[in-house]
Amino acid sequence: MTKTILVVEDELTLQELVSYQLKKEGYHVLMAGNGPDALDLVKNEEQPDLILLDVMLPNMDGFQIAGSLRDNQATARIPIIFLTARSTIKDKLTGFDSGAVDYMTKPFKISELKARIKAHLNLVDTAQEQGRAKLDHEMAQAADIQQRLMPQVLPSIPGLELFARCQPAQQVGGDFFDVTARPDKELVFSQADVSGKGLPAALLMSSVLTALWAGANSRSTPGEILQKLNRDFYQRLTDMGKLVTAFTGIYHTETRQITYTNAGHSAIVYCPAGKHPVLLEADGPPLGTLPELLSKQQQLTLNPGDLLLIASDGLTEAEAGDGAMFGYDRLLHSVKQLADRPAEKIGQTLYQQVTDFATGYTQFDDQTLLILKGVA
Amino acid sequence: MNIESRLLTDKKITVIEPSGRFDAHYETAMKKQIRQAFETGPHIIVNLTTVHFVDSTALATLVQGMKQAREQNGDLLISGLQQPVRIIFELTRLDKAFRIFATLEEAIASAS
Repeated sequence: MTKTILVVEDELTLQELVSYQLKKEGYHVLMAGNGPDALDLVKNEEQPDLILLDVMLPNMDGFQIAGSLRDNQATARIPIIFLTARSTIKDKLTGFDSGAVDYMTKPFKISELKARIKAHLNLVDTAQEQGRAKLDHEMAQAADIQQRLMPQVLPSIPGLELFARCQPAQQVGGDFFDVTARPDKELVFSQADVSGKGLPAALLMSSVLTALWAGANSRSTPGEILQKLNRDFYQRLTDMGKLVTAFTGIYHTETRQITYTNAGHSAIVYCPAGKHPVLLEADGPPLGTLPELLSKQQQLTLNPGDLLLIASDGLTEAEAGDGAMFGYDRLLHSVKQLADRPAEKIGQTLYQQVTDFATGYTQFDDQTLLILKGVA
Repeated sequence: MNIESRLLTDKKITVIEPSGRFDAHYETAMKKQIRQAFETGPHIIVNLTTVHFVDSTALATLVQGMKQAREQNGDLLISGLQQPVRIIFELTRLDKAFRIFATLEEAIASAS
């Protein structure tokens, strides 16, 4: 990538000479003849990768300019090489004190200047790479923790086959699912999507998931669970400007009934054995939208062969090269085709279909899928 | 994506018009427009006639603006939903949270 060098020098011939030589080396060169112009360029036009700074400038001297750049977090890390005729040890120390990384005494050889510039730019690159590697490592650990917050092993429930997977777009994300078996053989299953992506969404996801566990491990109904989540999180979600779409259902083993509540979470597909799949629409907006939850509790039955599929919008909104989205029609069509297979197979195939559809395009949003299939 | 904003001075309503793909990249810009609109008054109309897609961040930003407006005894109205965006509002049931109008004119008439 082309590096940008800012040359701040009031002696025009030198400014032109240095700029010409640097451009020959392949650098992009910015020029300024005084402090205020230089600071203005950095602030409003382009941040250079390195600055050559004359010490003796009209109005503001080089040390003051360097100090000003150091004080601003955005520019504090740009390496500065002083160019000056003043070469007493005191001058040099003042120079280094004001934050410069190197000091060239005039007259200097242009070849030496080029060599030092190259060395300093390499140092910056190495430091940045190390910083990125450290961050990547931490994010990988965070991703691992986040995945482990979701059940690694799904409970075995009579009459049901289960599939569950959460695939974040970035290393961490705002989608999650939970599957909790209650002592009385009820299965509480949930899926939610925090608005946004990446680390901010992941942090909030963690909080909401913990609160959800409390509800899942209690004797509350899905409606009660989501109502409590909405009440507990409403103020914070308002302050943060975030929403959480959420679906919670409870499967009752004895009756094969599923009671559920859906707060703005789209893509719930119900496919009774041998029939056409239907999209179950939410009846209330996401958590954090209104002070009281609008969503009412609903009910359905999962007889052998029946299928309930809950997908986050990262699947339906997956984009192909031409901008087309996977969409709900395609989802329903896929479900119809795959409905008689085991839950595991349906889940894996659907993920594969979405990946194939969006071939060549980076996954843009978290993709979560939860499948319950009735078996004899 | 572009965001245009204009104040209907006689009615003290700000009309904010994003266009194209309204997603997370424009969260800061949109919040800024809404904040600036509030400096004049709590009545905002977000006209989405030229928006073909909204993501969860965009929706959350609109909800936040709506709540802030209502706190100040105003409101944030939505107008001009294109079909794909209307579907998103319906599936997330945000059509039950916002006052939504087919056209900007109808929204203005309602807000006046």
